[in-house]
Amino acid sequence: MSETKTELKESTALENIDAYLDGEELSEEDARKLEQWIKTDSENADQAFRRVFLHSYLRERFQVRSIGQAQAREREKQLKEPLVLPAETEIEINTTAPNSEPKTKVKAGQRILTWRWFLLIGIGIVSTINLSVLFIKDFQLPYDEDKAFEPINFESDYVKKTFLMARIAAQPFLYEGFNYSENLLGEKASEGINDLTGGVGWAGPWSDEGKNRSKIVHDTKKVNLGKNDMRLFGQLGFSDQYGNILLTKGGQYRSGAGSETVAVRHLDLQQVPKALLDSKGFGADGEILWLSFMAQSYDNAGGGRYAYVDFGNEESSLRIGKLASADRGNWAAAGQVHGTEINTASSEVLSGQAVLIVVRILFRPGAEEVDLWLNPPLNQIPDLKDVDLRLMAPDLRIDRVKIVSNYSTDFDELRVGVSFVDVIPAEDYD
Amino acid sequence: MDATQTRALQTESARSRAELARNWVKVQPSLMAFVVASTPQFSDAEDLLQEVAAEIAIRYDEYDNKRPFLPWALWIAKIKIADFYRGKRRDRVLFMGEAMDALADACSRVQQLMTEERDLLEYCLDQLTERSRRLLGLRYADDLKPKQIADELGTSMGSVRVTLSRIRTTLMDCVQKRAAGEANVGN
Repeated sequence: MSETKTELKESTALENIDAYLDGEELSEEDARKLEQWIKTDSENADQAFRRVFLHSYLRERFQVRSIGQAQAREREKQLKEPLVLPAETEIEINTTAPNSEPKTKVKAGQRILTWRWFLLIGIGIVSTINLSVLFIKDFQLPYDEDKAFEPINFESDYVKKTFLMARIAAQPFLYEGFNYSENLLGEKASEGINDLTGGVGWAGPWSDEGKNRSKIVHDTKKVNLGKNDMRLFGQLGFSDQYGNILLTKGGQYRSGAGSETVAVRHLDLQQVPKALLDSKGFGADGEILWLSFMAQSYDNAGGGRYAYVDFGNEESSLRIGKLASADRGNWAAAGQVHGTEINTASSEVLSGQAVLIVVRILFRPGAEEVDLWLNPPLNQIPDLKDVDLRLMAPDLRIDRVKIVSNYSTDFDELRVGVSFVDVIPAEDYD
Repeated sequence: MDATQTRALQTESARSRAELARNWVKVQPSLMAFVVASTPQFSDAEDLLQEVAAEIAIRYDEYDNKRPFLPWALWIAKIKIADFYRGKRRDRVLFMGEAMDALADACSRVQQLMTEERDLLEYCLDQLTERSRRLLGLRYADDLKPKQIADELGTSMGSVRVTLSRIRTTLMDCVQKRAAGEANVGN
């Protein structure tokens, strides 16, 4: 027994931990020695745990950095010399080196991953598809700059035009603009938003399941909850710093006040792009999904109040909005597992302020990577470096959208697509 | 139950959810490391961590908030790890089997330290040469095993394994030296 206790040196123990975590199978003998080494001394156990933590940290860090950068890595591979293992002397670090230089180096290394890179790839793909569509349809879809909103702050006319063209032809595969006329709503027999069937990509109508009823509001100046209601200044809208303006048309969704409002609508999975589907449903690993919507609450109140859009199913989902787990009441996002919010990430934007939320989900094996931008510029694909919120969400399978609220809040222009241009709200979508 | 009682219950429930969210954020990195120790396949570990999160959410009412959260969460993690291996029909987790409790204790001891050391790790990673970082990228971003890396680079698995280990040791040494240096500042 005492043999095993003294046999293993720290360096060998750590190398064996590395080997184990790198997927090698340790022999019974090595495993037993390692167990003994860890168990017999708490300092050894601490060192072992630190080593495991290092693996876990490196995995998380390199995964996050690599997300969405497959193309960049591919290009990097082509541009760079083949990798040769670093020599032992090259691995050493001088810990007294100044801080400033490496930071600069890293930034320089990351320049390849700026929004221009993503934008050009995105535009390249989308515009190629669009141009193909144009040729196939014998120019039935004319390029009409008036359909996109001005101005776009691009220096290159070519880039500007291709971006606009991509935007014009872009379509979310799931859309709800809550554009229901007052006449239609007046004639409808059922309460709340029950039986409303507008939009694209849905399997059936909305179902209003809460104790309270939601409604469609057309004029927030007339329909509001008093002078403290932040929404009384006007309909939900958004303009970025370049003057690109989004105007919503028709109505917008409003949850009830007091008791809980729950509006549910199921997706038509046949209208979901096949690449996003696998045997378990909508959320195939390795794919990227974009979504956006606008929202504004009665005011900024937090303290357990909630009003959010929930994408997923009853078991697990992604919640975005005013969340009970974000105590300050600012716009936030969280994963939901069996009814409980986890991994809540809260922004600095007050929920009484109208906001355009753009979300990118990378479906991965296990937890999903979720990046959110609040009020991003509309003329470029948002940069991953500029995310407002980032969180890991539970493994998502989206079969319905649910809007849940116990605090009067408006939502509008819900869009889900496979690219940024699919979900940036453009006029005249309908 | 009247409306006041219902409202009080709802408020309590919301407070409990908020507290769980705060606790979870604090312990998640350490818990992930603990799970990785038991399931070195990262995708398995991430799935398992989700299972742990779900179980913690379901059983959160059982948690006594006067006690530290991490040991309780580790206890749940151990149960889920055992379930995981039962499900996989594997009866033994090599090296973790008997060392699991010792590692859980270590996790509780060094958790705070780990949180602080993450910043230092960032610094130390920046100090690595590009070749070292690229090698780590192959292992952790591309999820290649040493054998696959060796095949890709046309070298031996042993060389890759040793080089990766040296880089990791270098990182840990760097963190410890930086931590010691920072601790000395002001002395």
